Amino acid sequence: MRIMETIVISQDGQYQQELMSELPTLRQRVYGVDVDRLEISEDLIVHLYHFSLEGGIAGEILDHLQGHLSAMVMIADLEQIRNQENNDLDEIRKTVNNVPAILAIRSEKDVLPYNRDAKASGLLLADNARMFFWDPEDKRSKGIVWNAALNTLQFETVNNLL
Amino acid sequence: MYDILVYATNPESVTEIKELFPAPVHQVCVVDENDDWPVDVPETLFDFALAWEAPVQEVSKFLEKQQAVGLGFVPVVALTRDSSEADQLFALPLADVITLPTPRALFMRTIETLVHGRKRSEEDRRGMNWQGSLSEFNLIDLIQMVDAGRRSVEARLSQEGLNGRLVFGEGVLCDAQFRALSGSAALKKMVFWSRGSFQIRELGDEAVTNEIKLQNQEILLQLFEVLAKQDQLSRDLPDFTTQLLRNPLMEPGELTGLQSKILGQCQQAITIFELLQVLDDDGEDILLELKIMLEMNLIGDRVEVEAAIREAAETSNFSKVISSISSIFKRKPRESVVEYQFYESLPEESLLPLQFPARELSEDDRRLIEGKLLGGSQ
Repeated sequence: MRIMETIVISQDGQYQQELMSELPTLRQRVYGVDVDRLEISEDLIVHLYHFSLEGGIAGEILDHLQGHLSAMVMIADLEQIRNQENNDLDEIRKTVNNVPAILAIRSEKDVLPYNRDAKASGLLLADNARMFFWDPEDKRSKGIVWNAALNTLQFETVNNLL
Repeated sequence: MYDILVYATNPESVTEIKELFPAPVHQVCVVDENDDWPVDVPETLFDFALAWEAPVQEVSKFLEKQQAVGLGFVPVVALTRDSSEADQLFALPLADVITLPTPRALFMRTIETLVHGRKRSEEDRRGMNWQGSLSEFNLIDLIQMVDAGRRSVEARLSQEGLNGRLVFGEGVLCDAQFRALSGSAALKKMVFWSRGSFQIRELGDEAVTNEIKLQNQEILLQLFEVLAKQDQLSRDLPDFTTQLLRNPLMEPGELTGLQSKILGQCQQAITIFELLQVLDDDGEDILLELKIMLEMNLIGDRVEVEAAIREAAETSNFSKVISSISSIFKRKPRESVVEYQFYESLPEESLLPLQFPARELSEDDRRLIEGKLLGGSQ
């Protein structure tokens, strides 16, 4: 069995519920951390470890995981990005900067000026990081976020390493 | 060919007038209501006006209206069938009064004498000292007219703050000045003036030096060529009265000298016509560079550029966030190595064994993930 471990970070956990609402996951708790188990196939499982910036992220857990991580998803809205304190994102990224990362920005439909291509393939933040926009009412936009995190960037990163 | 202003309230009269002066040889403009003249009437230079079988009071109103719109210089001929009305019409400031019916040939001779006799008397009065509108006589017309008169004159042209000067020696164009430009270069700028005015003054015995050293016909051919080239180039450009503005959202990169000058002028809104006048460079070169710069979006229609600036300002905060976020995600070297800490015991709720993830995804894996995440979430 192969397991892809993914950390999912949000400000306070609220947006995680919305972004994951369509994922057929089974929630567990590991090391005091909420973990959602997503079965892709009998042979391929995804673990989604949830962290909130408000609750703080234990550096030890992050360090433990970072060696095994397949992807990292950070969920926020633009206001939270602008107002983030203590450069939380910066610190986290320093720790796990080799992991394909998605910044998933929650937005209302058509509020932000992005076009269809940006919607489908995201905006490039770095060679292994992209930003996507998702609308809580749009299932496909949410699916695109997860597919990029688990599939697109992971596959591209792997192909780059091979 | 005559341009004729007609005041007639009877449609049959209008038909007869248009038969007497058929288009396209003649241009007939009919007004049938003194209170409501077509807007383009004051802009037309009429040769004469006809008040056709109109009551005396209406003819008087017509004359007042004519004065009011600036056409008081146009001679008016009144036609009437009523001899008693003819006596009253003679009291008005009319060029002539014709009693109908009248032979057509006599009528046409009257008109011809009126029109041509007026022009001759104007020339006798002023000789070659005269002034006029560039909309009626442009540079090419002036050169031809002075050439025909064989006089030594100075012509001063002006349009919206632009001032130029021509000097003719015995009808031959000897010098032209426009700002710092002279000769052909100055003529190539002034040839596009069509809205200003000119004044011609005889030079008398003043000595004239021929700086241009070309026959008038050669000069005219050059100017015709300039006009033809500009006409061709202008097809791919906005109207020359369109205001252009530099697009601050585009980085110019490497520019030619002329492009830099154009971009500098476009810091403030400027029309293509103004650009052609303010730059000393050849008009054809300016238009070619303009075309390139418009295609590169370095400059654009002022309205469109201002709209783009407004849109960018609304999204500028978003762009700043992108930049700051992007910097976070750039790969950075680890500042320190954190020692791995072992957990001596696992909490009871740990039910899922952790395994090293397989970082190799096959195409099948990809399809499975995609199907799971997108197929079911549509």
